[in-house]
Amino acid sequence: MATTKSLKVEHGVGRRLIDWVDRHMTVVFNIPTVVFLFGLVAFPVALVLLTSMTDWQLILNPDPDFVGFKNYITAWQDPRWINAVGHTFYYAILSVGGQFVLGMATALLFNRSFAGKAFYRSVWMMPMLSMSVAISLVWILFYDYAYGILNLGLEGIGIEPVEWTIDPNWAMPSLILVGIWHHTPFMTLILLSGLQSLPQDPFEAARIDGASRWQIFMHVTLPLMRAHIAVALILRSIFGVKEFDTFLAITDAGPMWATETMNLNIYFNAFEYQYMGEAAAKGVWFFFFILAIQLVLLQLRKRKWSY
Amino acid sequence: MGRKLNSLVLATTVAVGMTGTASADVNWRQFEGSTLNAAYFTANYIDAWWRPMAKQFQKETGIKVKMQVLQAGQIRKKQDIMLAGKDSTLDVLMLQMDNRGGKLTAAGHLEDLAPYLSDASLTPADYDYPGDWLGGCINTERVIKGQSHNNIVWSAQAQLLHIRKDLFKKYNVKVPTNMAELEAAAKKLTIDENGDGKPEIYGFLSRGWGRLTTASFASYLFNHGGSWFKTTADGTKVSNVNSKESVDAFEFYGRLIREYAPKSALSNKPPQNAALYAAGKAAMHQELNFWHGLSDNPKKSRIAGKSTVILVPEGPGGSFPNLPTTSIAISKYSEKKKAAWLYIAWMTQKHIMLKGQNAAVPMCRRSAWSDPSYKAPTPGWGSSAKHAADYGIAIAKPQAIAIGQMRDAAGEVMNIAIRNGDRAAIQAAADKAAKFMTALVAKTETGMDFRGVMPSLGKRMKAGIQQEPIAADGLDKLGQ
Repeated sequence: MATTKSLKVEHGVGRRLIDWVDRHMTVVFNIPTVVFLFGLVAFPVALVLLTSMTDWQLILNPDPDFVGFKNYITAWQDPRWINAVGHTFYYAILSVGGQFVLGMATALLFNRSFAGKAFYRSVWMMPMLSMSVAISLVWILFYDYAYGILNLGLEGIGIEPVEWTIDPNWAMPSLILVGIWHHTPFMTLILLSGLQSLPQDPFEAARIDGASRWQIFMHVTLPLMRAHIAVALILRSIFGVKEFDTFLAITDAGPMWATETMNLNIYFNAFEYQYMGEAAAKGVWFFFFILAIQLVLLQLRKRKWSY
Repeated sequence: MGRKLNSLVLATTVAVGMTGTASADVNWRQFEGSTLNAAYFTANYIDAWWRPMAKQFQKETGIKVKMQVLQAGQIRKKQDIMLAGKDSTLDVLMLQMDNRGGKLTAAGHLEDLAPYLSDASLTPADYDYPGDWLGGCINTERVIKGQSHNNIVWSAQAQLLHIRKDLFKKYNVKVPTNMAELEAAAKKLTIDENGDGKPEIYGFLSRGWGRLTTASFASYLFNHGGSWFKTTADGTKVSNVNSKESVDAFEFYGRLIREYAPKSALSNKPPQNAALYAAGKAAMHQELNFWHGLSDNPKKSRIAGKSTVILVPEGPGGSFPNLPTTSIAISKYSEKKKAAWLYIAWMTQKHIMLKGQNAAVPMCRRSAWSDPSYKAPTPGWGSSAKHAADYGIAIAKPQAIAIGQMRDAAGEVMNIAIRNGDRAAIQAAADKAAKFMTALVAKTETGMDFRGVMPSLGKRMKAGIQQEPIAADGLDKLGQ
């Protein structure tokens, strides 16, 4: 009886299904990934591309017309968008630059041995673990003109208080400072892992040859760290260009749009003004900017450097 | 005594009987077991009135109300997305008609409530709408000519000037009745007690951040004779923010903030300003009247009992109380419209709104203000808030379909007025904003009769103020 049953399985639908799966294993195992990617990436991207070529407004024009590439062109006739592009790179370059310099310095420090290193390293990493909106609320208090700790400190040493988030000229530097404080630990983490994975032979050879610390850093450490530096810069640049929550919470793109970045401009267009088509077109432009940054940094990584 | 007692018993019996008869037509339990989804703003009235009443409503009707309460900016976006997606799970929404009312009306997203109002099985016979509603409130319900009756206005919050009675008295300062006196008071009450060049008390505190300023600035704009828009001879709606009177107003308000307010006002949102005022750091605070609840709360405020509110003083253009009312409406796509209306009708009954009124939530029902059980937080609050609710108009934002961009454009002029103060610079910024706003009106309102603010209404209000000079009587009338 048992033999008959197993024969049925061997020759029945179940057996044929198992055989089919065996033959098409690569296809079957990829189906979940394809469905996932299509649903969460390809479909939304296609929808954004489609939306960007319409004049869709959320409430007032729910049945949009196809307008081709009009939104892509009109984006560059909007002075706020042009300023936002400038602000985005201003923030990303200075913020990521500051994070890199400080991150490398602290990584080099934590790569050495000293008493209480584990404790200091843990403390140093804490901002990275904090939520953006929570730290924004704290920094709003720090930046308060009349009662903020920064101005009280400045006044204490006889310096005029600064209109941190109030003055259009100071608002972006204030956000850059928050960005550096918040994200440098991440930079430190990647660079420190890089430093700890480096072979020691080149350093010993350089020391025997009489190289100074600066020469060792410039001509041994940096070249060997190239891959790690590239990863850190690529990741932080992408996140720097995309920075949104601290901007919205601390300055809300003000004063006088002095801190409006591409991301915020898209947000205002989509959800404040409800021009979904224009916002989608700007979103696509934004994507190209991020892609360009990645390509440039990847090229820098691949390039053969001579020292 | 016996006859009096008998009369009282009879009167009470008749009153109770009448109420019973009126309400008997509505079976409040006809939708028992239903659940409604409501999307509301965060405000003091949610915990003071809406939440406790929702519990009582469920007890009396068997209908559960699931309230989603988020900050105004967030809930507006959520409502818009749900309405645009014709989401049937949104039943009841709170909105300000002077903000998104025009847009939602034009798009047809709000249910016409007229059939429900006239349905005796859904609306109590003693509902008395619009007879029991204050004029200013009713005036804010319709924003587009020919608009259906798609909302019930319930809250008569007004933008009023909160003043420190004790400081006015201590420094012998006259309660301002015009703009010149207001500035003089702000100057005199900017007090540097220890002489370190940094005032301990600032004379004036108001919104100074971009688009948010439109709400607190509106009365100053209209009282100076300016306006957000005007109608040209050929009937075209154009921006008026660059007129001489409007620029005068920008210059005046900008100067008040620049010279008599703490610099943090430039980045503060209303809650931070209200906290500064409650901490005793300012002598005058321009804000919605519900913030009086914070400054008058002894547990949260250092100035409890020392503050009251007055109307923004009259200007060369008259007196225009700024009344950004709040309405409640039903989504066109709700599958429980009748139950939703039953909820609205129940919440806006006389005795239910009276409970809100007694919880310091200014209501739109006239009877709530005149009820013997009602006691205003301060006499000044009562008279000023009532006056604003009666005669006010919805001028808090540039009334337009593209409201967000209009507020940002006006906010940019205000930024220049506060930071720079130079007349030519303000005029240049206003000219630029006016050009942008006019173009935006042409782009978004073609073929639409958006009401805006009618000049004749302004004249009526000016007359109203003169008949009831609240601030002019000085401090005695303000309960000191």
